[in-house]
Amino acid sequence: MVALGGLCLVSSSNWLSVYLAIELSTLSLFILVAQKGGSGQSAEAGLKYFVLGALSSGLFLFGCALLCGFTGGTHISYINLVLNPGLGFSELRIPIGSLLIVVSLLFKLSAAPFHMWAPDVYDGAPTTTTALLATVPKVGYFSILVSIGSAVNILLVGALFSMVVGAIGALNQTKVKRLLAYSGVGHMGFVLWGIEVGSFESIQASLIYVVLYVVMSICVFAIILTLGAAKNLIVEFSGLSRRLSVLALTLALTFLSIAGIPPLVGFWGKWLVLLSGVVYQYYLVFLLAVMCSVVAGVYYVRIVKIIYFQASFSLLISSKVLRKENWINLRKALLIGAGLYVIGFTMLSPNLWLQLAHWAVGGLF
Amino acid sequence: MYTCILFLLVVGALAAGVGGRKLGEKGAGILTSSCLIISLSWSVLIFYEIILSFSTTHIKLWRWLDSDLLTVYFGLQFDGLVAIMLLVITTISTLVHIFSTAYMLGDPHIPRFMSYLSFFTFLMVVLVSSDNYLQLFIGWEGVGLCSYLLINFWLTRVEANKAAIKAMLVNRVGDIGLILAMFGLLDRFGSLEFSSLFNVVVVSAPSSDITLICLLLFIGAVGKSAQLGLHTWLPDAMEGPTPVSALIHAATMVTAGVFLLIRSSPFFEQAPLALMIVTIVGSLTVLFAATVGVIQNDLKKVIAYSTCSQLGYMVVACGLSHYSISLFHLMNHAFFKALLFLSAGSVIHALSDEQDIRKMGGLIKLIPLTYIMVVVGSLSLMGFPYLTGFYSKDLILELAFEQYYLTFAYWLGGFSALLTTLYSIRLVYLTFLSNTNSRKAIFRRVHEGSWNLVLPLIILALGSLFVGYLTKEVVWSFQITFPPIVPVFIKLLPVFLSLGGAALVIVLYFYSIHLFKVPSFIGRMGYTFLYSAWQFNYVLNYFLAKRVWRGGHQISYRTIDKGTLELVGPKGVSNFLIGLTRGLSNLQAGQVFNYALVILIGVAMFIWGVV
Repeated sequence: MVALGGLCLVSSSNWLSVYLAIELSTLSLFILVAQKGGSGQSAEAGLKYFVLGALSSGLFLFGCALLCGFTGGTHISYINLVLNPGLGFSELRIPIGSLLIVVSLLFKLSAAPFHMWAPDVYDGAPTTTTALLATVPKVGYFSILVSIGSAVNILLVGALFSMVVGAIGALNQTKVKRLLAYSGVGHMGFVLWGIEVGSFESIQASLIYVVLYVVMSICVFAIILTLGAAKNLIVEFSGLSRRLSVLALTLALTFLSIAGIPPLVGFWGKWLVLLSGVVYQYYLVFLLAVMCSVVAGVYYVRIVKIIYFQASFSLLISSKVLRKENWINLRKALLIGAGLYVIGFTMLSPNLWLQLAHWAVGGLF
Repeated sequence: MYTCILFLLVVGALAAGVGGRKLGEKGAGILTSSCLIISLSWSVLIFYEIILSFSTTHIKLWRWLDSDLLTVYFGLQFDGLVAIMLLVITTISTLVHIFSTAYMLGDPHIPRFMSYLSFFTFLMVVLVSSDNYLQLFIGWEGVGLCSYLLINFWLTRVEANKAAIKAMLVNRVGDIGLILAMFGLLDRFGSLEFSSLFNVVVVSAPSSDITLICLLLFIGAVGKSAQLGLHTWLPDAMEGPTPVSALIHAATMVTAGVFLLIRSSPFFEQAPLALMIVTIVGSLTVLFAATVGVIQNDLKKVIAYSTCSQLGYMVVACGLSHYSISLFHLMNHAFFKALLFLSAGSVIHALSDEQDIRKMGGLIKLIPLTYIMVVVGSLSLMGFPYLTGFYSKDLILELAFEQYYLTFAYWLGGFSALLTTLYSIRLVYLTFLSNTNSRKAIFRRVHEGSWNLVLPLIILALGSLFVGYLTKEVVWSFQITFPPIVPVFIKLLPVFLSLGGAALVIVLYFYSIHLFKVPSFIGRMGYTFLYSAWQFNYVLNYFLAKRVWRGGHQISYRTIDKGTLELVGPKGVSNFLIGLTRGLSNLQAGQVFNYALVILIGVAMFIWGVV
């Protein structure tokens, strides 16, 4: 259902159908988040997501209403045509309307300052759902944000906030999923910046960034699922390199890639976005972005440090010994392997990605 | 063949250093010594090709630094100067290697020792054979490092560690001079290669820049060659094993400074002022070190001050623009000083590590061979006619007399020749001739060393006897020097002064009882003054080192580094970030209405921004 919603979202050209698509995927996500029966956390997360999602839906509909009321149509292209600056409307309702729509999309993308739900929901939801939540909707919302292509300043502010919050918020997190939520916020900052710059190359870079982010997230979540940690605390990774060395290496490489360490693919995505930003002379934002990714690098590397250099606590050791040894199954192994392949070797020949992104973005213009 | 010399030395050093455990104590000695012997034979071949067949060789190895401002190649340049230096270095080093296998016997760390020695030799060869200043600097620092490692080879001794650190630090002062000189060269000429620099400097007009560069180069040489002011590390460096003193602190490393002066001669020729300063410092060193050497009681320190003094002669020769004579003296000095050190080592070895000459005596009957060696070395050092030292030392003095305004160098040098004899004969007398003062248990165990202890001594003794005569005109080939025309009196004066010095010792030691019954106040003051080497250590420490130390600790370390920078930098940033992230976590309280409020505030802010 989520995927269907995402597909509908990507292909819809009418604000109302966009709304329906969003609601379709969101509602199914509500249920998925709250699915773990008997778990207070899961229910809490579902409820939070539901309430805040309703709020954002309300904002979205209000924005739509403003726009439709002014223009009298619901087609995106039609509205865009009417709102063409050449026609010279100076009506307060239009920017507010489009602003409200963008805000609700930012909410779905969990960009700051509308990110508040993300850590709680990510943490509370079952890990499978979290993986879904962190990956699939992002691509869809990304496409719709690109296609409406407006409200540049809001996007920039959102991008800046997201980068800062993503970098700083995750510093003192103790749970993996919360940390990944903040990390997602930071990454969305980069993506939004790319969209905001608005040139062909920057949108292409953003697209690549989103796709790579999704790949890396899948890899991380698959590994977390495989490990089957009890509470998803970061400390539970300690001493992983001694128990499951291959998996530890994969996890470490993935985190380093997310942090943007050069030979890995995360660096490439960051580099593309930063490059397009610098070309269009966003120097201050560039500096901020680099600084944020340095700060963000701290907590990714901290996880790698914990994986390799920190001995297990005695309490954890006992719980690990008691738990049944769970072997990694083939599907997860294939998934992780494919993810690692992309992470590790894309830098060797990134042309395929570039070409695909080029076609995809070319369709927009 | 030319690069093989370097290669072999590295192989020897690495094999003994890394695989010393496998090779064993004997194996390491044999391996490094044979590497050295092969290098030596090639050096002889190079000497033949370059000096006798006049075929200078220049090998460009590969490009090292390649930036916009500076391009540096690794290159080897073999000309007359280098060929002679190579011969000296490999000869002395080979002999010292062989000597060490006997001298260090029983030490558990022989492989490490041999490895350091070989590595030192390698770096010394790099130093002399490089074709640019930067590569020379690698060798320059490298030999300094090896000197450090070898001085505190017995690293459990506090004195050795102190001496090693002192050598390193004092040398740094000179290194700064060399580095600044390189910057100056780069700024003025845009290159560091000898071939281009020397061609440019010959056609350029003399200017104050070149004088400055020369003075900076000279500071480097002063540090390395232990000239007045920065000499304090050399006597202390005698804490190291005796073969090290012979190789590094007499024959090769300390001559690197003189080598630098000779190498940079085209610059000095353009800077008369610098030459004058070089002469003054050199001649003062000659006198200073000789006076101090007379009083010292440690066998090795006497020889160390003698080295210092002889280096002064070489520097004086450079200051007088007679670089080939300086090189000649360098070569001769390497032979007789290595001989002196090694035989001192032999004495120390025989006396179970006793170094104080007041506790020696009467050894002539027990180790006659060593006695002969010391006498040969001392006579050569004194400049006794027709021995090796005579040819170069007398020539330097005569050349000094010839100068117009620098003729004081002659008088200082001449007087020092007297002092040289004084301390040499005193050393021989106290060690070998006088009644013994050593303990009976030690005295009964005195013996000559094994063949590999004695063989290097004999070879060096032959060198001290004949090298000067054999090579006197060959060495001058790269800069022809005609013996100056001086009055007979002047020509003979150094010899007479030497003989006078010898007589003086005998007088002093036979009749001293009558002369100095109760040492007067002045006598005691003078003795203390000389014994503590003109109080150089104290003055430098009190007026310079302590203040710099305090300034470094309080201002740059405590105030700037640990104070301001630490607060603004790492600590400040991390504290700031931690505070921020705490705040953010507090915001994330987990209540839905809070979140909704934040979202609404965000929306309101955006709307306000848009409108």
